[in-house]
Amino acid sequence: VLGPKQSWTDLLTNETFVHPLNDLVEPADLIRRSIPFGAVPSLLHEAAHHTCLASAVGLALAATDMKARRLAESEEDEGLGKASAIVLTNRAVIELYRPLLEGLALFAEFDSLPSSSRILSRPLLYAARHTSGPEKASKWELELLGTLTKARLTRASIDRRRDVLSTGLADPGGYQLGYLYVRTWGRWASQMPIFRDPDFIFFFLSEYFWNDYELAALLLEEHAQDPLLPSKPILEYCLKRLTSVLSDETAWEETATYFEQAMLDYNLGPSIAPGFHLGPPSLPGEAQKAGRRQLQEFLTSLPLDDAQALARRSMFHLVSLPVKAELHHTSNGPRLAVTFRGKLLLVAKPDDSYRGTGGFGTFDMFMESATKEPCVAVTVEGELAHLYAPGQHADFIAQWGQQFPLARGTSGFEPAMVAISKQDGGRLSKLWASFVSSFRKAALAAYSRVGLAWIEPEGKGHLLRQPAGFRSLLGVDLTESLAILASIENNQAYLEEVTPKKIGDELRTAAIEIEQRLKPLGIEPISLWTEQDEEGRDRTAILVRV
Amino acid sequence: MATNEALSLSFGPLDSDDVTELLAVFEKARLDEIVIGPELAGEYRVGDPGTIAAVVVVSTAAIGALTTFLLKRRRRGSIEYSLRVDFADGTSVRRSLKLNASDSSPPDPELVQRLAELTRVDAREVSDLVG
Repeated sequence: VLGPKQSWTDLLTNETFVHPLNDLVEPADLIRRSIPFGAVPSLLHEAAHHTCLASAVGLALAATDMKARRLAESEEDEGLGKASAIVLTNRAVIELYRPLLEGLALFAEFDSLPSSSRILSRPLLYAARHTSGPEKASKWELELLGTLTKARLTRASIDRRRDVLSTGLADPGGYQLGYLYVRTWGRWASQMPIFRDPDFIFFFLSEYFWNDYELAALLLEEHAQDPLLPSKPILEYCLKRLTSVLSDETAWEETATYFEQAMLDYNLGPSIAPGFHLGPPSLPGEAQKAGRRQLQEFLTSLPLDDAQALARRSMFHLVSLPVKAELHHTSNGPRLAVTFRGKLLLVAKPDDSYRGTGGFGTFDMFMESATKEPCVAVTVEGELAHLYAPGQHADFIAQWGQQFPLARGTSGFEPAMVAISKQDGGRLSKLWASFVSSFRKAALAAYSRVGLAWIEPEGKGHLLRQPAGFRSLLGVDLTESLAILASIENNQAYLEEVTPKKIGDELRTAAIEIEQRLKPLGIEPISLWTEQDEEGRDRTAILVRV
Repeated sequence: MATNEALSLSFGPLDSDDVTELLAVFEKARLDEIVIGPELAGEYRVGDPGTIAAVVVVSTAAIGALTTFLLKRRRRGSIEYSLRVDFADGTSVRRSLKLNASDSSPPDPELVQRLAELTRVDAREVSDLVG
């Protein structure tokens, strides 16, 4: 049930819809790269989804789904069996990793901040590009910190935090479950200096799980076992990776250092050909390098239509607006006048290849992973009329953008499940319906081992059973206080710095009440202690674990 | 149960008061097979936690509790919920349910009948449970 105001990202096409940018922000402001900070949380959330899904695993899931659709459409029994095995495995991986997708997106929305790391994740890069104009480029980091701080203290942002705390951990979307997993993982990792940067935690975890070439290669293999069961080795691989933080098998500091250096060394080069450009093997090990080779080979062997649809997945759509365009001949040559809701939006030189005279079309703004700047495209009556791409990759984007329609909603490739249902009379759908709850239970168990590691054993079971999470335990008002305290902790502020003082005092009372209610259950979502500030004054520091 | 039984019913959007009342009704009926969470953007979509919904594991008792909630909720004013029922064969059905205190709103027996039909449970048993 999709609400009209809900932003979303498609798991297969990686198409995005960021509601505030499309419906609440003036397009002219977007062109000036200036958006209100109220729109930043949704931008960060969907950009995080897009970043994860533009990865090796996201590509492998989409590419194998296309393969399954072609197998199903071949109308051969053997093809249908192979297609079913692919779809069952892919959907099981999606269900196991769904809480991770949401947890990473919520972490990007609520917690990511630039700090000591030498690299910056795409969600923060996108936010920086749209909240500080070019004239402010020299102090962008300070601007970004200010924007994120303001954005996270708005009523809307605190409401979203409270709503997440008010959801059950068994919620099929896995929002709170995934968020607690990422928060707890990050807090554990921040004992190591390299992980003391919240944005680095997001960046590293999104790469560790989603740019995992070993898993991508496993997804490409033919699943040899019963076609009516998801691939057991793949599911075991995912579950092991989710709980890897609990074992001593991974040298996390070395892995993170390798990742940071790989990202610093990676240079796409301005002469890259349009099409796929896989990121570097950013995780150590031969299996990662071999997996990347396998994925590259698989992608280059695809039919052109599939290859183009997959290449389009790297586009992060900021807006796609219905517009009217008119071609005018001026003394400076032809110019395209683009209007939106009757107001002039843009006057641009049409592309040399454009042969039309105007009409109805779309105005699209997007980021592409080869470029760090927003690109603009005007498509009129299905024909690309104008494309603006800045920076050293302008030629690449120009060639890349000629391959497919850039307007949102034109990318759709039908999930293989739909094609299979037409052939097997709904047998696979029925099978999946009988499996889905078992995968959600497996995910719940794996994520809770990490995300609830700070809770006493009896408290874990208690929290897991609550239909509305912390709201069931604390009620509405204290859950809201918990959300506010989490936002304050995120800004590394002492309680005495909260203004007006009355609010700070109320929050202190609420924190004590939360502790008194939950500590007997073995649950301590919050800790307060006294430390001295730089001037030697006693100050109340806060640690929020949710 | 019919061969193609209804597995779960999700409905929303819920406001904070809805959640409070709904959980109170389920707690009174000693039912715990309900979970609150953001509405899913779709099976092949992820999205921001826009609006809040409830997912109920279908049983006669749960549909009875849900009906009790809806009848109470109607007294608070007009509302429209989106309902989705997922069945054992992998199919799902979506419906819209409008409630208001005026005459045009479904009368109680009709509401019971409608929910029971949608979720394929016994309407008379549901009716007995509605308090």
